[in-house]
Amino acid sequence: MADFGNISLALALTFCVYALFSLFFGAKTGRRELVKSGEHAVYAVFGFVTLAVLALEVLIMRSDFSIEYVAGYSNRDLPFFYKFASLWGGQKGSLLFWSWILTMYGALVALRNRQHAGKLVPYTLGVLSLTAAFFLIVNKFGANPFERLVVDHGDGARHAFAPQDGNGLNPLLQHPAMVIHPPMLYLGYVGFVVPFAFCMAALLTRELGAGWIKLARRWTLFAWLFLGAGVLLGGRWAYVELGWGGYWAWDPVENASLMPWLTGTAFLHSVIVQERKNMLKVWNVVLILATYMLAIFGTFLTRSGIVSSVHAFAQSSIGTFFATFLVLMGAFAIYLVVTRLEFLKSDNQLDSYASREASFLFNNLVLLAACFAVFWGTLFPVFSELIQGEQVTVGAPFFNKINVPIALFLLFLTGVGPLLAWRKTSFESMKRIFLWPTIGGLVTATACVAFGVRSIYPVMSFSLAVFVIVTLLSEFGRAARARRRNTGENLVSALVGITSTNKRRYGGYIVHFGFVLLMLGFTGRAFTTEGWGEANVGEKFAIGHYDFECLAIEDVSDPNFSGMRATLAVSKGGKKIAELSPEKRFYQASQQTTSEVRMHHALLEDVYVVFSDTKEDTGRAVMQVWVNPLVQWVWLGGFVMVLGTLVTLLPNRKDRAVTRQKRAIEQLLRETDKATVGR
Amino acid sequence: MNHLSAPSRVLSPITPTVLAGCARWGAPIGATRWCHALRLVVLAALVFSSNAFAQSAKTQLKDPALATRFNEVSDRLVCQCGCNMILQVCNHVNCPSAVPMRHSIETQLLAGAPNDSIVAGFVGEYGLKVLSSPPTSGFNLAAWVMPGFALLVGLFAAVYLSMRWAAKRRVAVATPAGPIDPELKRRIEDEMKSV
Repeated sequence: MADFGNISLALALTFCVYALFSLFFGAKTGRRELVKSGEHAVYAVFGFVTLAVLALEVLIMRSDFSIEYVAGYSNRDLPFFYKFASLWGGQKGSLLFWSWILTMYGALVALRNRQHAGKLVPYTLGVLSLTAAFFLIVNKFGANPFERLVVDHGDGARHAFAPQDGNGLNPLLQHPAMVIHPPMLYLGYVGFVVPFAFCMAALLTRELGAGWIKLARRWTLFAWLFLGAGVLLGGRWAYVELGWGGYWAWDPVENASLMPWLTGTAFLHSVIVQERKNMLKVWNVVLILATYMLAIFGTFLTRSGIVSSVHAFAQSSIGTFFATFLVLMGAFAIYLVVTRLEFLKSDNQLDSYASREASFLFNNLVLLAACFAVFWGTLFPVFSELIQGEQVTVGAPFFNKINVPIALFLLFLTGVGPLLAWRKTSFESMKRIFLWPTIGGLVTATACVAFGVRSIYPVMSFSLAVFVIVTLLSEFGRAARARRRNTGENLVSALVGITSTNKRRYGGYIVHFGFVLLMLGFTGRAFTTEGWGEANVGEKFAIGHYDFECLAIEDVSDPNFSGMRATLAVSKGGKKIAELSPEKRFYQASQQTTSEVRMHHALLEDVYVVFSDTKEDTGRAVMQVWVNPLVQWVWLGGFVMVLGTLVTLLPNRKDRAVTRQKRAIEQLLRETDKATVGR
Repeated sequence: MNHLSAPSRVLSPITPTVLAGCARWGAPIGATRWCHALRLVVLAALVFSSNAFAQSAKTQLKDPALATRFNEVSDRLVCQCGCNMILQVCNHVNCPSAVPMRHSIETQLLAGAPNDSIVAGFVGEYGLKVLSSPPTSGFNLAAWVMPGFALLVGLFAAVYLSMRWAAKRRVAVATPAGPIDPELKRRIEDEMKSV
């Protein structure tokens, strides 16, 4: 099976190189049959990589420990789902998974645009094949997951070797979120290769009008959705599994996933300006190139070992592959932009700073500032070591100090942007539209201060959140009222009606609402309460306004692990609200100890309990407890953002009609072509 | 009942007044819903009205002022066991690095050492990497300055570009339009009539 996997990889690489040349050469020389052949090769590459992935999954399921990767990341007693997830649990397997998703995207782009005439799609598939070829080279020669375990018995010869059992998957990765978090994240990371490929194709063909933007926007939104969902799921995993009471630690690997998401967000906003006003053409190209480079950079950061991170894969030589690829692609992209500047001229005209296009400009600026701050902070330890010879740590306090004000300004723009008109908003109009949101924000600020919130950032965050919510409600309200006047529908039907007629706009507003909830959730972090408690069976301790009574301390065992469990009754104001059973586990295969957190969730606050240890002298269970306000709002906000993005992704009826018409015209043109050739 | 440094909550003076007022409002039927809503708001306010910011209880210090200083110091340091976590956050049981570091902070605080000298002691022992954020001197100042500098450069670029674009617009508006072609005028009028 390992040979089968290896052969599949070799064939995938061969077909990928063929696709690359036939697509570029075919498009350049106008040889349609060569382009068609290249498209078929793209499907074949996806097929062969799928076979390689299946081969590795079969090896994992069979517990074939003669394969180094299988022995390193799975074991016999590992539950089925986690065995399945072992595919992306280690460096080599996850890179193969990366290639699989990338080639799947290639096949989907080929399939979706098979009717599309012109050079843009062949070049796009060519660029996708170029990236795929790089990853397949890494899979084959840098990080091959089908390598066998060998041992030297001292005779100088290398003998095949298969241990009785494997090392097992890292216990921290044995969580349901980890079965879906990496695929989501990869769908996002890899997804950004598609808009980049469209952009490069547009640069190569000099077709830099609205065409590539139209094709790339939906793919960008798709990738942005998955990356955002993946990042949030990662946060959820960290919260549930790592047992430190938080969900975001500004770890380099977390930062690596945030950066392309930020530039992707900037692109999704500025692309609207290009569509409406034919402005910011160069800017959009730069943004999509930056997003791609940051996606690859994130992969490089995770796998090269240049920064230390709890999430990073083992340090390996493939960092050199990635660094070389990044430099070459970056240089090529910059060369293309510089040589195509004359084709990127746009009608940049700004009537007023009080306009929607100006707010988009500032939104982009703020998003890029946030991205730069994260990038700078993540790499500063490397710069520091290079220049001073001494590494410094850039931890959460730095990122919070820099990014909290930026995020608050972004929240402010989220409220202001949608209310401003294109071109210019008059002062009178501004007074009218911002009156209620401003009153809402000021009342909230006063209430916060009155209730004793003394820190400036939480007060600002709550006030701006109310400001944005009022603006969003007024936007929905205004449109729904107008529709009700015309149609006589009830409020709910009117709201559904306005959303379905302009999904992009109102879906965007739903995403903004989700962002507000997310920010409220982040603000809750400022009010976290933490404490330690220890108790034997029947004893009690209190933390915050919660009382904890220890009901039992018992041993637990499973084929995969052994450990201890404490059962606690949690009460608030004398009323029992939950029974929590946190565990402390020891995983035999990996020889690791982990804490299994247990929580009581509520919309207002979570009670988060970690079983830390038992005291040797007293036998008491030692518990670490966090009371985390508003954490659920983070997940709720994420869910609303996903929902809003899905609404935005749905095609409008008008778009569908236009697509149908375009397809009919293209079909007619093809038939006319055939008839002409036949004559 | 075993209390281990459970953090105290300080309510704002207004809170009991509001709660008492709410209790008095209980009777009128029309006010019940409002009263319930206000109670929810007050409950939320209770959650957020704590005067401490991200309270921690990783210290056995009983004096609230010293406990607050313990939090401030441990927030400025990183655990050296390799977990890369802020000393305040590291939750490893019997961590070979976090436990002695915290103990050392407690001892020095009880001995009356100022926060900065405690932190400086750790820097002397472990180097700059023990700090959770880069210091604000020498080359490391760049870590703090660069994001703000980049934002300023971006802001200037955006303002400069937008002023250029605004000027372009003024030129476009100021350019007098030539006389309308009579044929075009006729077509526009025809189109308008057909609408």
